[in-house]
Amino acid sequence: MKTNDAVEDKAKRPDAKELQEASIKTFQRLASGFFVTWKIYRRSFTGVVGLGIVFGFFLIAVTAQWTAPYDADFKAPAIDTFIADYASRDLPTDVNWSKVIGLTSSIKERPLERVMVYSFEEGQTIVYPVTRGIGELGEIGIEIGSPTTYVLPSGAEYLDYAHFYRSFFFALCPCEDGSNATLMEYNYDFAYLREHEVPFVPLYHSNLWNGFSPLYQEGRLALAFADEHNVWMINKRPPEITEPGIDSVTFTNSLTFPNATIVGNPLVVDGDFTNGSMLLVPTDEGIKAYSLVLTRASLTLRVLDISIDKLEWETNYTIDDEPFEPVTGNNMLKFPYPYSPTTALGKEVVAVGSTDGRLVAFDRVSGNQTWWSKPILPGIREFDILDLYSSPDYIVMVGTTGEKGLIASIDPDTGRIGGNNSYFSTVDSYLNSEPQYVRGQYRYVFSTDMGTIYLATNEMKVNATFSAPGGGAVTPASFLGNIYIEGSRTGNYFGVINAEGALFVETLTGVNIAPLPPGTYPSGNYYPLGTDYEGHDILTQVMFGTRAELLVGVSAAFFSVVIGTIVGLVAGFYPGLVGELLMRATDVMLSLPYLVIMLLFAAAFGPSLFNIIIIFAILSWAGIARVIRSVTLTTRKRAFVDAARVSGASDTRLIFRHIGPNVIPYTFLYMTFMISGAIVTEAILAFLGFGDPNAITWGMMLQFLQISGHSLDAPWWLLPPGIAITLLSLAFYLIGRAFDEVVNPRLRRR
Amino acid sequence: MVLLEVDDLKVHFEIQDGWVKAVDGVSFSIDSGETMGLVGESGCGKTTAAYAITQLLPPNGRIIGGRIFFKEPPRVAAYRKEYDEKLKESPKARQRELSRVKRKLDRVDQAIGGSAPEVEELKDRLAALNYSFDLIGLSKRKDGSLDDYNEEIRKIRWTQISMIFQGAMNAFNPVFKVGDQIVEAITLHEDVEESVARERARELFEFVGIAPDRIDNYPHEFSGGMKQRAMIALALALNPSFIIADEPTTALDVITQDRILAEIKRLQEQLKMAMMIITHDVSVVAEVSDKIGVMYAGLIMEIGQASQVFKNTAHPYTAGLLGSFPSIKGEKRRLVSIPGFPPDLVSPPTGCPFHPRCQYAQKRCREERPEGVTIEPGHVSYCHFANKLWEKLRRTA
Amino acid sequence: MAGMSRYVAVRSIQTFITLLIILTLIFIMFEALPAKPQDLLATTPNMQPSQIEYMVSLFGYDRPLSERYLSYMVNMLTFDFGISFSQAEPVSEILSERIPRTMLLFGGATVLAYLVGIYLGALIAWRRGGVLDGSSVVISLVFYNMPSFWIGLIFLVVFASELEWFPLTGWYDPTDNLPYVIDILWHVCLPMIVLLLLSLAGTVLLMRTAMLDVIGENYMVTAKAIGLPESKVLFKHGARNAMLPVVTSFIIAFVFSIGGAVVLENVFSFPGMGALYIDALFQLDFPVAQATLYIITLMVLLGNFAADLIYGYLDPRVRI
Repeated sequence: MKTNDAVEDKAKRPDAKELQEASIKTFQRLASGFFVTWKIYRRSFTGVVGLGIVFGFFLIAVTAQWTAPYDADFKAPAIDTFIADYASRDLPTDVNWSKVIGLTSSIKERPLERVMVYSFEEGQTIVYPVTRGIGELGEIGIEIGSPTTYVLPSGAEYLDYAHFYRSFFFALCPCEDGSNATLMEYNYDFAYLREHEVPFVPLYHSNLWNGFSPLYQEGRLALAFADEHNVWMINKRPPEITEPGIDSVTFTNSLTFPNATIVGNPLVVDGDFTNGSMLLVPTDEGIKAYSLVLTRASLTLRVLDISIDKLEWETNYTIDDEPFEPVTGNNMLKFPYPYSPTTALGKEVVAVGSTDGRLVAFDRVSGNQTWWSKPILPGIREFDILDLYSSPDYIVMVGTTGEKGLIASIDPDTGRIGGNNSYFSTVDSYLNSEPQYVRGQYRYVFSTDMGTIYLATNEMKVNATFSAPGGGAVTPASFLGNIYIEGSRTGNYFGVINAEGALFVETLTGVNIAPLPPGTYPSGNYYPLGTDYEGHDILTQVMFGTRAELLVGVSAAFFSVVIGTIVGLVAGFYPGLVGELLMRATDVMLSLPYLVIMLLFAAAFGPSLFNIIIIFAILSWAGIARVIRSVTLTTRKRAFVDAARVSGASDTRLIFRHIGPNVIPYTFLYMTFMISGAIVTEAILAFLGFGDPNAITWGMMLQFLQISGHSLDAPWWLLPPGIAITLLSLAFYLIGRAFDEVVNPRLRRR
Repeated sequence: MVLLEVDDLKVHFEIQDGWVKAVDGVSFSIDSGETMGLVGESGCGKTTAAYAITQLLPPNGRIIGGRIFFKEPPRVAAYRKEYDEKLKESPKARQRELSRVKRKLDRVDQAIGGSAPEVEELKDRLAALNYSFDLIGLSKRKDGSLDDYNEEIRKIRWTQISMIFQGAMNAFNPVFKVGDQIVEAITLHEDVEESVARERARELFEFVGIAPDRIDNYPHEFSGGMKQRAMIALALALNPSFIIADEPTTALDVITQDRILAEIKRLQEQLKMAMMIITHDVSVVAEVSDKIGVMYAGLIMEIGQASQVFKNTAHPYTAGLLGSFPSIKGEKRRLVSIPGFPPDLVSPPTGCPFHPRCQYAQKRCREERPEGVTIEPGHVSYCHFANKLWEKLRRTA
Repeated sequence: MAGMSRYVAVRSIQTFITLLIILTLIFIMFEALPAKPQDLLATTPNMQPSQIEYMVSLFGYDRPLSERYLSYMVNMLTFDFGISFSQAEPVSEILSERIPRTMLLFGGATVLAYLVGIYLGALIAWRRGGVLDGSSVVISLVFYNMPSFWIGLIFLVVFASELEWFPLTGWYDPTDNLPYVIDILWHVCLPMIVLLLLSLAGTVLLMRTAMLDVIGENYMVTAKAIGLPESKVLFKHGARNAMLPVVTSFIIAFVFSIGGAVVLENVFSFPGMGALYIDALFQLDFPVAQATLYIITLMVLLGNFAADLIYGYLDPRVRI
C-alpha cells in the first residue's frame, strides 16, 4: 500500500512553475466552487437572512471596542445611579479624616442626631448636628448644622462606642507611645466631651453592653476591656434621684488569668434579665464563660450593679477531640445578637471560626459543642474566615477568597450556608468596615478597600453597590442610625467622607435607582437601552457579550461536531460489531437528559467558559454521529471507494481521504445547528447560576437580572439579551436549514 | 357513444422558476367500452392529463383551461358543439342565448309541462350552453379557483371513474390493511354494512386471483404483483364505467407484467368498461388498446386507432418512439433511439415542440404549431408534413 | 397480534438495558466528580454519627468500587436512595412529593404539545405556502431558538405580574380560597403553557416536514381518488403516516422538554424535581442529585418506551 502512495507522490512531484499553476488552479476551483454553492444557497431567502444576522453579530463582536458606547467595565457614575437623600459638608482639608460615627440614638423617645468625624492623627474631632426636615416643596431632606470641635489625644486608635444615658462613650487607645487608654464620654445633653483615664492598655474590648432593655432603660454601663491577662469591668453609675448630679465611672479588675492569654474580645451575652447574662472570654486555652449577676431596683426599674459571678463552663478548641486553630482577634466569638434580647433568646450558641475555614458553635449555657461545619460555597474553592458578626437571623461571616472579599450569612442552627435562605456574596475587595445591620430594613451596609459601598440583604445577597457622590469613600462607611422627624423614625442613614474631603450623610432607602431605564442622565450620559443594577450600560454589555457567545457557540459546536463526525465515520466504516456498539452508545447518549447532566458537571467542575465548552462538546455529539454514520454507510458503497480500496488504500486513508470529504458538508450543516444549540445552552447554564462570572455573556446578564430581583420591573434589561440570544441562535439555525436544502436535495421542495 | 371528451385541456405547474406547461392543449375522446392508450416519454404530461380528469393534481398544478365532459348525452354534445361554433368565444352572445333559452324553457314548461320532447330539447340546449357535464366547470369556486374536494367530483370519483395506480409504488396506505382500504372505498359511496363491504372485498380479491383471506394483510405483506392485483380489485370495487390505469405494469418483472396485462384484458372482455392506459411502454399499449394517443411535451402528436397508428405512422415522433422499443411480434430490427432530450417545459420550443429533435424539421416547424392533419378517419397527426411523411415513416416502422 | 407482543417484549428488554447503561453512566459521572461525597458527608454538621455510619454503609464509600457499584445498582433499581445530605431526610420521601408535580408539568405539556403539534403541523403542511404556513413556521422557528427561561420570564412579567391572570410562583396557595386541585392547576398553567409552546415549536416543524413528505406519496392520491373528503385524506391517511417519524423522534423531544421543565421550574419557583435538582447541585447534595437525575432519566426512558409502543401500534411494518 505504501509503495503505491509513494509512486503516486513521485509522479506528482512538481516544479515551482507547476506548483504555481496548480495553486492558481486550486484557487480558481475553490472560488468557482464557492460561487456555485453560493448561487444555490442564495435561493434560500431565510439562509441569506441568517448569514446576514451572523455577519452582523460578528462585526459587532470584532468592533465592540470602538463601536460600543462605553467600555466593557463601564459603570454609570454615582450621580446617575444614586439619587440619595443626602447632605454634604466640606471638612477642613488639611486633616486626614479617618472615621465617621453617628451619635444618633436608636431610642425613639430620645432622639439625638449628631455625626462625629475624627482624625486621630491630628487629634481633631468635630461633631455636627444633623436634622431632618421638610423643605419648602414638601420634599424630605436632611441638613448638617454648625459644628463643635474638640481636641483628642493625638495618635489615638478608635476602639468602640456605646450609648448610655445621655452619654456616648468611645474608647481611645493611644497605644503607640505606651500610655494608657482613654475613655471618652460625649454628653449630648450638655454637648461636652470629657476624658476618663484607664489604668491599663486595653487590647480587647467587649461589645460594650450597657445593660439596656426596654424595661430597664436606666441601666448601668458594663464595659469589659481586656489586656492579655486581665478583664476589666467599667461601671458608670447614672445620677440617682437621691444623689442628683453624680455620675461616676469606675474601673475594676474583675478577672485575671495568670497562665492563660486572652486572644480575643470578651463577649457580654445578654440572656434575659432574670438569669443567663454571661461573660465569655476567649483565651488560648479555650473559652471561659462566667455568669453575670445583675442587681436591680424593681421599683425604679434600673440596674444597680453588674458583677462577674462564677465560672460556668470552659471549653478547649477541639472538634471531635482534634484541636483546631481559632481565628483570633476582635471578633472571634459571636452570636447571640447583642442588641436585641428578645430575638437573642432563641439563639443560644456562641460561634468560633477556625483558620481552616470551619465553624464551631457552643451552647451558651452548657458550653457543649452543638454543631460544627465547614461551609460550602459553590464556585469558591478556598476562603479564609476573618471575622464573625452576629445578626438577628444569621451568623455573618466575613472572609477573603484570593483578592476578593467574601461575606456570608450562616444558618445559626446548622452552621451551613444554604439553609434557612442563607447566602453568600463576593465583593471587590477586603471589607474595611464592620458590616452594619440596619434594623427595620433587614439590610447591611459595608464598604471595601476599593471604596465601594455595598448594600446587602439580611441573607447577604448584594443588592446595591455604589460609591459615594463625588468620587469614592476614603473612610469606611458607617451606619449612623435613624434620624427622626417629629418624633417618628423616617430614615436610616450612613456616613462617609469622600476623596474631596466632604462629609456625606445619606439615606439607605432608595439610594440606588439603577437599573436605569433608557434615557439621558445628570452626568450627561445617554444609555440607549438603560443600565443594569450596577449601572452597566445594557447596550455595551450586549455588544461585548457577542464575543463570548460566538466563542462559546462556535468552539463548543466545533468540538462536538469533531467527536460526532469521527464516531460516525468509524461506525459507518466498520458496520460490524464496532459500528453496532458505537451506535448503541449513541442511542444511549441521545436518551440522556443532556441539559440536566450539563448542570451537574457545571456545578462540579466550577463555572468557566472553557468548562461549558468542554461539557457541551462531550454531551452533544450523538445526533451528528448518527447522521454521519448513515452518510458514511451509503458513501462506502459508492464506486470510487471500491476503486480506492482495490488500488490498495489503507482504511485510514479511505476514511479520511475518500469518505471524509463527502461527509464534510453534513458536518458543516450540523455544526450550524450545534452552534445554535450551544448558544442557548450557555445562556441556560448561566441563568441557573452555573455561568462564568468573569465573562460578559447574555446569559449572565439575565442571571444577574434574576438574582438582583428586577426581572419583573426592568424590561429594558430583560429584553435585549434574550432577543440577542434568540436572534443569533435563530440565525445559525436558519443557515443550517438553508444548508440542509442544499445538501439534502430530498428536502428541496418542488 | 362518447363517454369522455377532453377538450383543449391545459394544465400548468407552478415552480420556483416559473410555470411548467405540462399539458398545453390536449383533446381526445373515449367511447364507452373503448380502451385508449396514452403513450409518451416520462414527463410528457400524459399522467398529468389523466389525473386532471378527476382533479387529482398536486397543489401547485392548475388547470388553466379546457373542458372535460363526462357522460354527456350525445344530443347535448351536439348542441354544445353547435353553440361553440356559432357563438365562438363571445361570452356576451352566449349570455344572451342562455337567457333566451331559459325564457323559452319557462314558457314551454308552463304551457306543456312534463317531459315533452320539446322541453327535453330545451333542457339539453340549456345544459349545452351551461356546459353542465363539464367536470371542471362543476368544480369551479365562485372566484374561479378549482375546489378539488367538491361534492360533485367526489361523487364521480371511484363510482364512475376509478384508477389503477402503480400498486407496487405505495398506492396502498402502508398502515392500513388492504381489505380495509377497499371496504373504506365501498362504504364511502354506498350505504352498506361493513360486513357486506368486506364480503364484496373478498369477492373482488377472488376475481383478481388473490386468496380472499389476504384482505386482512397489510400492503407490505404483499408482493409487487399481488399489490397490483389488489389495486385492480380496489379499482373495480364500485363497478365504475371508466378506469384510468396509470403505468399499471411499470416496476413489475416481465412475467408479472404479462399476467397483469392478461388480467386487464380479461376485465375489458368481461366487464366492458372503458379504460385509459397511460404508459411509456408501447408494447403494453399495443397489446390492450383500441385507440392510441401519442404525447410529447404536453401535446398530442398523433392519435388514432391502434392499428392506424402502428401501421400508418404519420408523425416522426411516433416513429421514433416505436423505433426505440423491441417489437411485440418479435420482428428483428435495429432499435433506434431518438437523439436529444425532451424539452424543458418551462419554456418549450416555439412551433412544433418536437422540432429540435426532428430529423425532418424545417423553418415552418420552428414557427408554427402544427394543426391536426387527418390521415384517415379517426387518425390525426399533428405534423405539418404528415401527409408527405407518412409514406416514408411507414416504411421505416 | 403475536407480532405486537414480541415487539413489546423486545422493546422492554432494550429499554431495560439502556436503563442499566445509563445507571452505570450516572455512577461513573458521580465517581468522576472532583468533590467526593464522603468528604462532604464529613463536613455536614447536622448529620448524626449514626446516620453517617448508616450512609457510609449504605453507599459503602469505604468499600471497593465494584462492590459499591453493585449495591448502587441494586439501590437505584429498588428506589432506595439513602438520606439527603442537606435535609437529613430519606431522599425517596423528598422525591415522592416532587415527582408528581414535575410529571404533571412535564407530562402535561409534552402530551399537549404532541396532540396540538401533530394537528397543527399536518394542517400547515396541507395549506403550505399560505399565510398560516408562513407565520406558523416563523413563530415556531423563533420559539424553537428562544432560551426557555427567557420566554418564561417574559410570560411571568406579562401574564402574572402585569395582567395578574396567573399567580407569580409556587404550586399551591391555601389563601386563594380555591379547591385544592383547581388551585394547583391554576399555578401549573403558566409554566405549562410556556413549556407547551417551546415543545410545540419543534413538533410543528417536524410534523410539517414529515407531512410534506407524505403529501407526495402515492397513497395520498389514492385516498383522494376514491373520493374521500379533504379532512379524511388529510388526517386519516396523511397525518397518520406523517406521525411515524415524529413519534420516532419522541426521545429527542422528551430530552428537550425535560430540560425545559427543569429550567422553567426554577423560573416559576415551581417546587418540582428541577428546582430540587438545582438546589441539590448548589449544595452538592449527592444522594438527592443522583436520585433526581436517575428519576428524570427514567421518566425520559419510560416516555420513550410508551412512544415505541405507540409506534408499534401505528406502524404495522415494525411488528415483525
